[in-house]
Amino acid sequence: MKRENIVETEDVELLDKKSGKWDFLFAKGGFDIPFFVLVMALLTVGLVMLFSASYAYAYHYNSGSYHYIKNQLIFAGIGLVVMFLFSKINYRVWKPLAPIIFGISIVLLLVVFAMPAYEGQWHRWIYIGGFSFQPSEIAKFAVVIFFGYLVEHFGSNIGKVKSFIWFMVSLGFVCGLIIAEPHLSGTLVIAALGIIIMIVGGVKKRWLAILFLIGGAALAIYIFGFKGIGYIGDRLQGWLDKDFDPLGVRWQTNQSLYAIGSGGLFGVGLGNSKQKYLYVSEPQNDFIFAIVCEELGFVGACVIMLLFMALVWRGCVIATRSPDKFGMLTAVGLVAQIGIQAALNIAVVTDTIPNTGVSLPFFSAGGTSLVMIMAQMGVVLSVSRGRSAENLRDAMDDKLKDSKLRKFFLLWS
Amino acid sequence: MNKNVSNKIKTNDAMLKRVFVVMVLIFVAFLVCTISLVITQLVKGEHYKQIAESQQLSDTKISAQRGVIYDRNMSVLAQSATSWRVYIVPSKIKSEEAREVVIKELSAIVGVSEEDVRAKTERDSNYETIKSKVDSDVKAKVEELIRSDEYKGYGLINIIGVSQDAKRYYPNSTLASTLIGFTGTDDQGLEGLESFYDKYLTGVAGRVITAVNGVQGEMPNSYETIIDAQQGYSLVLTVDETLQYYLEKHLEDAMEETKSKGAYGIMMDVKTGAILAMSSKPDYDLNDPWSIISEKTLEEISLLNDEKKPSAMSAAINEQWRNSAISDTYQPGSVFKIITAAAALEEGLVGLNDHFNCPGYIVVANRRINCHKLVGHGDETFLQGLMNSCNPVFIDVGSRLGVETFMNYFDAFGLNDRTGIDLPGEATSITHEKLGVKMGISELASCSFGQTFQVTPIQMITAVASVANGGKLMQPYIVQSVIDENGNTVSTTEPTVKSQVISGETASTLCSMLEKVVSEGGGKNAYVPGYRIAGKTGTSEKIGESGEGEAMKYIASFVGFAPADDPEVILLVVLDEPSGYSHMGGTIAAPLAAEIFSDALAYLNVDVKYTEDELKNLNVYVPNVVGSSVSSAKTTLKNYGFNVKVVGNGNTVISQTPSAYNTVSKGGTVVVYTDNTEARMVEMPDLTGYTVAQVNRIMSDLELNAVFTGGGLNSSDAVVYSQSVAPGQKIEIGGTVTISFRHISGVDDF
Repeated sequence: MKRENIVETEDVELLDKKSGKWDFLFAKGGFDIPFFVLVMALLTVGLVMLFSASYAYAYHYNSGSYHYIKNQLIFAGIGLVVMFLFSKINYRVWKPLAPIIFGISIVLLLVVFAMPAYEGQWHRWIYIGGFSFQPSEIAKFAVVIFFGYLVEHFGSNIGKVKSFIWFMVSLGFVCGLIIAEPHLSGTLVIAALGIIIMIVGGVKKRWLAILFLIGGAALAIYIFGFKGIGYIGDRLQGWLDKDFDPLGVRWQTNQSLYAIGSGGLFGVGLGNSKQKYLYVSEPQNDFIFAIVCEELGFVGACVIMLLFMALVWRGCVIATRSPDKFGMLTAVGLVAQIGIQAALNIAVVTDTIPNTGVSLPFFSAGGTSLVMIMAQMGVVLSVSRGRSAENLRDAMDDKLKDSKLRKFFLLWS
Repeated sequence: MNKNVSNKIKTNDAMLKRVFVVMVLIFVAFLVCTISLVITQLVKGEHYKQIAESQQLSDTKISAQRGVIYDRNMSVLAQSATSWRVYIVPSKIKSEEAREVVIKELSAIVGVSEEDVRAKTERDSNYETIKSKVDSDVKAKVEELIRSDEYKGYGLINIIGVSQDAKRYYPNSTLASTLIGFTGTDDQGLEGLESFYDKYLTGVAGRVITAVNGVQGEMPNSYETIIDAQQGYSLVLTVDETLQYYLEKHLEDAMEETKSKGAYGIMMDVKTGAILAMSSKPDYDLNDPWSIISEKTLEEISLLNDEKKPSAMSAAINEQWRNSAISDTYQPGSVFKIITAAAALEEGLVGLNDHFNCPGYIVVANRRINCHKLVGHGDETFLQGLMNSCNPVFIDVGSRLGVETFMNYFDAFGLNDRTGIDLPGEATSITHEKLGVKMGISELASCSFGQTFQVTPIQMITAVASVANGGKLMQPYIVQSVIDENGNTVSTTEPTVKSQVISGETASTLCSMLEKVVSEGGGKNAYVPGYRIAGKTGTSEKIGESGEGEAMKYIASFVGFAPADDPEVILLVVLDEPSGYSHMGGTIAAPLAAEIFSDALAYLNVDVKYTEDELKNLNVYVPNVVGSSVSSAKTTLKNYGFNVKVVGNGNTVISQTPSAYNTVSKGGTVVVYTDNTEARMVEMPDLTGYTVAQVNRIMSDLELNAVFTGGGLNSSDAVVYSQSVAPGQKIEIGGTVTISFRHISGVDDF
C-alpha cells in the first residue's frame, strides 16, 4: 500500500482560508462514498435479515411479529441521523475529549455493578428510563479514541516503558471491569482493539510480546480457573465435547448448526427459514447469522462476509488517507471493531470457537448498540472528510465526477 | 488544525504498513469463518439438514376408509366406520402433576388401567397409543379434557391427542366369516378376502405434514401440506347373502346332528364359476375373531392341563379361521366316480347300458377289493353301477381307461392345479404322482372310485361343474366387481372358460345319469320334491389319520346340481369325521344337500314341477275359517282337500287347529271349534321306521296333521327318521307334526 495522499501544509491552509470561526468543530469536504455505501448496504441487509429472523420469535414471545423490526427501524433511523451528525463533527474534537470519555466509560462500567443483574448473574446493562445499554459498547469507542490520544500524546516516545505502562494500566483496568461482569467476548474485543491501536501506533514489538504473554496467561487462568463455575466452563465444555448437554448448553449451538446446514449452497430462500421457528434461540440476536446462512445459503453468507471485509478494507483506506495519527487510529480501531465482532460472531454460530455471546454488527437486534455503531461509522466518515477537498479535486478527473449520487453527498460538505 | 502540523501527530509509512497488517489479520479471521462455513454448510450440510427436518416436521397420517364388501345384491357384509385413536406424547409431560392428571383422567375416559397409562407416560418417546378404535363420544370426552379449564396449566393440549382411525364392522357376525376374513389393528387385511384384496380395500392413506416450531406448537397454515386420503375400493361379491345363510344354517345343523368335526360347503353358479356361497364350519365371529365360538372346542381345551392350554387355544383360533373349502384336501370317494365315468364315456370305452357283474369284490393285481355291498350287486348296467355306486364297475371302467388316459382326464378336469380362485391359502391335490409314486394298476383301481388321493373341495366342485355346464372347466371366482367410493366400476370379473374337458354330449348323458342317481339311486336322500336334482354321494376313509386303537375316520360328501336338464346351481357338501348314527354320504350328506337345495332353489325361483305322487302328499296352507259359519267352513276346507272335524254345537267357528297359514300335508284334518269345548289330546306315537303311506294312515287315525320333509317322498322305501313331537308327548287333535323321511337302504356308496 503506497501512501499516495500526503497532506501538504498548503492544503490545510487552503481549507482553513475558506473556513470560519467554528471550523475546528465541523468537518469539511465530502465523505468517502464507498464506505458510506458499504455501511448502508450492511444496514439494509441487516434490517431485512433481522425482520426475517425475528418475526416468528417475536410473534411467540413478544407483542407481535414486528416487535424487533419496529424497534430496529426506529433506531436505524436515529442511527442514520447520528451517523451524519458525527460525520459532520471534526473527528479531532474527540482527541481532547478522549480522556474524559474514557473516564466516563470507566465510571459507567462501575455503575453496572449497581444495576440489577440479568438473569441473576450478568452485570452488563445499565437501565435508564425505558432504555438499556451496555457500557462495554461505549468502552470500546472510549478505548479506541483514548489509545489514539495516547499515541499522539507520546509521539516519538511511544517506545518508552512509561507509555507502555499507560497503555497497559488503562487497558487492564477496562478489561478487568468487563470480565468481572462477566463478559468474556466484550473483554476479548476490547483487548483486541487496544492491541491493534498499540500495534499500528508503534508500540515496541517486545512490549507487545510481553502483553500477549500476560494476556494469554490471564485468559488461561480465567478460563481454567473458573472452569466448572458459571457459564464459561459449561460453554467451553460444550465446545470441546459436542455431545455435552444437548438440551442445555449445546442446544443453541446445535440448532445453529442445523440451520446453517439446512441452507446448503444457495439457501432455502429469504423468509423461508424453519429453524427460526423457536429452534434457534435468539435468532434475532447473537444467532441471526445462522438464519442468514439457512435462508441465503453459503453464497449469501459469503456475500455478507465480503461486505464486512470490504468495510474493513475501506475503513483502512480511509485511515491511510488520514493526515494525522489520531484520525488513522480511530478509523482503524472502529472498523476493526466491526470486523472483529462480525468474525467472532460467525465463529460462534459455526461452532469454531466456544459460545461467547457476541452480537453481529448491523444485524443483531439492539437499538442503542445500533445507534452506537452508526455513530462510530459517522466518526470514520468524518475522518474521510479530512481529505475531501483533495478527493474532490482528484475526482474531477474521474469519470464519476458527474455522478448525481456523489453530488448529493457532496452537499453535505 | 494549524499550519504547523507537528511530526508528533503526522502519520508515517510504518504505520500504514501496520494498518495493512491489521487488515490482513482481520481478513484471516474471516477466512477461518469461511472454512468453518464450508464444513458446516456444504460438507456436513446434508447431515444437519436431516436432523433439522426431523425436528421441524410433524407427519400425521389420515387413515383411508377401507372399502365395503357387498354381496351380489349390494347387501353389506363388511364395512368401516370412522373411529378414533387416543395417544399421548410422553416427552411433553413436564411435571408430575400433569402426569397424574393424564393417568387418572385418561384411564377413566378410555377405560385403560391406570398402570398401563402410567407405563406409557414413562416411556421415552413421542407417541404412545393409549387406545385405538374408540368411538366418537370417547373422542369428545378426551377433547373436553384437553380443553378443560381445570387443568389449564398442565399443557394437556401438547400431551394428549386424538387421531382418526378406522373400525371394521361385520353386520352378520359369523356369516361367511372364513370367506370374508378380518382386519388387524392397523386396518390391514389378515384373512380371507380382506387379506386377498387388501391392496384394493385399503386405499391410500393421506398425510398431513405440518411444520412445527421449536416448542412443538403448530405453525401457520401455509406450512401445512395435506395429501387427501384415497378411500379404498369396495368389493361386490358373487356370494348371495341369503344362499350363504341357507348353506351355513344347514351345515351347522347337520354338523351337530351327525356329530361331525367339521362341515364344508360350496355353492357355485354352474355356468360361470361364480361362488354363490361357501362355508367352513366351525367358523368364528368376524367382529371378535380372537375368541373361540365353538363350545365343543372350548370344552375340549378346558380339559387340557394349563401348560397345553395356550398352544391349544392358538391352534383352535387358527383352525376356526381356516377356509377348509379351499385350504384342505380330502379323499373325494365315490363323488369322484363322476370324473371316471365322464372320462370313460368321452373316450367311448363304456356305454350306458353295458353290462357288468358285481360278485361283491374284484381282484386287481392279485389283491381283492371289496364292493361296499359285500353280497354284490350282481348283473348291472353301467348306469345302474353308477346308481349303486358300485366299486367293481368303476375299477373295471378305470382299467379300460388305463393309467395314462385316466391321469390326462384327472389333469384336464383341473385336479392337478389350484383353481386360482381369488381367495388366499388355496391348497392343491395330493396324488401318487406328486408324492413320487408310480401309478400302477392297483393305484389306478383305487383312484377310479376316488380313494388314495386327495383334492380340495373347490377343485372337486369345479370339476363336477364342468360336467353340469356342458363340459367347460370354469375358473371359480368370488369377486364380481371392484367399485370405487362413488360406485363407479373399477374392474369386473368375466367368467373364464379354462378348457372344454368333455363334449356337451357326454356331459348331458352324464347329467341324466346323475339325475337318476338322485331320483332312484344312491343319492335319493338328496331328492327335493318338485325339482330335478342330479348328483352323487361319497363316503371316504381318512386313511392313515386315525390314531392307534381309534375307529376309522370318514368323510361323507355329496355333490349335486339342479335343475338337471339345465343346471344352474351346483352344491358340494362335506361332513368331516361324522361320528353319529351314520358316516355314509348317502345317509347324512345327501339329506343335508336336499335341505339346502330346497331352500336355495325356492329362493332362486327355479320352476317347480311335482310328480303325481308328490302332489298327493304336497304340503298346503290351511285357510282361515275362524268367524265363518260351520257350513261354509266345511266347504272351504274340503275344497282345499282337508278333512274337517267339528267340535261343539255352535254355528260359528270360533277357533281352528291347525290355525290358519300353517302348512300341513294335503288330505290332513282340520278341527274347527264352535264353542269352548276343551281340545281333545292324543298321545304321539313313535313313527320311526314307518313309510310315507303308513304315516299318513296313523296320523289321520289320530286326527293329526303331518308335514313331510326329507328325501324320497315319492318312493316307498323312505322311512321316518325324526319327528317334531317326541313319542309319548300329548298333542291336541288337528295339531301338526313335522316328520322327516330318509332312505336308509340303497344309498351306500363306498
